[in-house]
Amino acid sequence: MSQSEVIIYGLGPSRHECPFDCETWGVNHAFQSPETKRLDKLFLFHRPKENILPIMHTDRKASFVFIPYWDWELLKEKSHNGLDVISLHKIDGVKTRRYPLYRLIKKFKTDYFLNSMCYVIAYAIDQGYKKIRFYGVDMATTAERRSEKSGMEFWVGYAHGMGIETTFTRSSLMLKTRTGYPFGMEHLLETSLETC
Amino acid sequence: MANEEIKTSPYDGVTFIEEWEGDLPRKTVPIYNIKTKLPEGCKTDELIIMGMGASRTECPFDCEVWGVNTGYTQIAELGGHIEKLFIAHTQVKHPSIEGAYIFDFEQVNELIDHGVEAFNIHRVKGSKARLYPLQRLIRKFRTDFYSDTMTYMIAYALDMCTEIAGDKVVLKKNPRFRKIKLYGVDMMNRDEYQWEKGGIEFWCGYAMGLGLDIYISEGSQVCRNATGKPYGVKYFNWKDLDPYGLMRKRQRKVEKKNALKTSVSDRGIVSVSK
Repeated sequence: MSQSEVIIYGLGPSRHECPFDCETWGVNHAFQSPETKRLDKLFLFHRPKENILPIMHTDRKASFVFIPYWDWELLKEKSHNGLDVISLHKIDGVKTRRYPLYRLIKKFKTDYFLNSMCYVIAYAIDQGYKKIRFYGVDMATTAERRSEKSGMEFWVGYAHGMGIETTFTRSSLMLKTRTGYPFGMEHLLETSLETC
Repeated sequence: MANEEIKTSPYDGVTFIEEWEGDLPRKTVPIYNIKTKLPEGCKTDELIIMGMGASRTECPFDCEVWGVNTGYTQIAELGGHIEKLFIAHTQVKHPSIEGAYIFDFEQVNELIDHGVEAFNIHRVKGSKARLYPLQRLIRKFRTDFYSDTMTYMIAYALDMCTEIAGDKVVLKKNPRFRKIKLYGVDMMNRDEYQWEKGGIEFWCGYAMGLGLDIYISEGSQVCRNATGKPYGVKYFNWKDLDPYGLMRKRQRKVEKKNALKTSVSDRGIVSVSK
């Protein structure tokens, strides 16, 4: 196990590839997943009221209904049993540490945080890790790809600029263009398809 | 060249190409009043990367300017100057004029003759543009994440500012640029926003991580949140919108009326009923 490495554990499908062989940080409801074999830090950037999951109504009469999907009791218990919970907000009953937002904005000279993962990457850069490994950070849903992926790529770029190595799972769309080839090289895609 | 008349204006290094009047319909824009040499008094340690978006009009042209594609015509309209031009295309058919093309490589050659350094990632027949050192930069920065032409430009600027130390890319002691300013890089179109913005932000992040300053013009979507505030931070005060609580009261009433009961069975199936 290396102290210079950290795993950032997202909730996308490629999380199954995570080996949990070094310090692991997760976001949101990663704490309640049975697949999460190790979790050293949990980052929360939502208020309890915001955490709702849309599900399709079974009889299809209503389009969507919203039900709470976080197990707050479990989080309360885990936070008191050693799970380091870092949050932007105070959450009743949960032992949390405040995310140092304003210090990091000052340090990195930007407040460009588009999603929870942006905060996590910024925190990892701040803590001086030499390598950040991403699992489950696929950014493959339309909403993620449209509105959040670019923010994460900014922070990954920031990490690269500071000499920090990053790795992603193969199925992740991070640092990938639409065709998988550099812009203007789309003809290579056509060539590779022809040879298939 | 028979149908073109090229004149030299009073400005040093200025090209003027008249409208094409031949049989072939071609999108040719006159590029008069464009300076191809850095005027005196410009800042030497700053760089302007000029896109073709609306915020290009804010550009002060107070340091070296790099343009993109046919952006030199817009720079001409603004009376600015250009030192480098980047293209990541061969020829592209005009979307609305049948038989016409976007790029006029003869015009680009004219700019090159007047001192502009032009780069293209492709070799184009008849073009004098230099080949962009893509493979070298991919090896140097260990990424091939170039989502649009702007990313090639930022990467080239970083290449001029950095060197390899050990196995890392570090800033030179005296980097060519200390600040990179983006004008006209608005990323407002759907495709730009979805597919290209991330690449620009990656390279902006790279530059900031190295210690360079990045300025992005007002009106651009690059490195900006939709709400203007970081994710998860409350970005409006509810009392500002509803000072007397009328909307809140009505919302509670509606919620109460439409309340749904949820229950989870032993098998984990969620059922919802009114």
